Amino acid sequence: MLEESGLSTVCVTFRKDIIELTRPPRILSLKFSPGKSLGNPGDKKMQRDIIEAGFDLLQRNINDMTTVDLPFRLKKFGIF
Amino acid sequence: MHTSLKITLALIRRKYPDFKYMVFNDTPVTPLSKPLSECKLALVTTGGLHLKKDTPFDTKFKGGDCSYRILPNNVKHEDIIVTHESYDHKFINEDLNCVLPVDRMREYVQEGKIKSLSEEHYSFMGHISAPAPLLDNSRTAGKRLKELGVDIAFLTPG
Repeated sequence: MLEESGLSTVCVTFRKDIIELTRPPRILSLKFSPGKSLGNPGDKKMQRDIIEAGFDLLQRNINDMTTVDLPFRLKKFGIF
Repeated sequence: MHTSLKITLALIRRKYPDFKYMVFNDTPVTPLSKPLSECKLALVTTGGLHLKKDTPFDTKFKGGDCSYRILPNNVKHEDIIVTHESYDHKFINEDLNCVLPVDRMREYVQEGKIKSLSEEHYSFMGHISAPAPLLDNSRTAGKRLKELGVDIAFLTPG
């Protein structure tokens, strides 16, 4: 609906299987969990890496749903 | 349909027998019409965020609350509360940017990566089992963002 309004959208998700049913044009897929959509609290680098992946996808010439599976993993207790 | 999705939908329907997921057959694509550095960006989340002074989302509404709340661009973390019951709020309470990366986007404006942020960002609820009313509300939100001159909507879950 937002795309049809003339907006370019990029969608972060940790449920790629469900989101792809709605066929948004640009999907960033992460294996994160609810509440940490862009990573752990205070992990500015991770947040920026995800956002910049979105910026890259927005600048790509696409004409159909495009999913990028991001390789990032969350640190737990200070280690991966 | 992939097996993992079948399992997911079966688990959801065990708790919400009336759950209706929406399937679309095509993908509307709006390409960027200008360089990223000239674009205005809005954040849209399904994290169930709202201002403390706003009416909370109705977590008991049958089918889920499909309304949305406006988060002004100058919003401070301490002005926001989360109504969504399906995820642990401790991370977003510590760092709003886990779900609504507004500070990161403000940095990108300062760095010149994007031109500006929308005067309004939006939060919807997640955990919607009857999503049809979301279509109208999403259109309304999209129309408003276009009126504000927004080029990009960056969408995040809760």
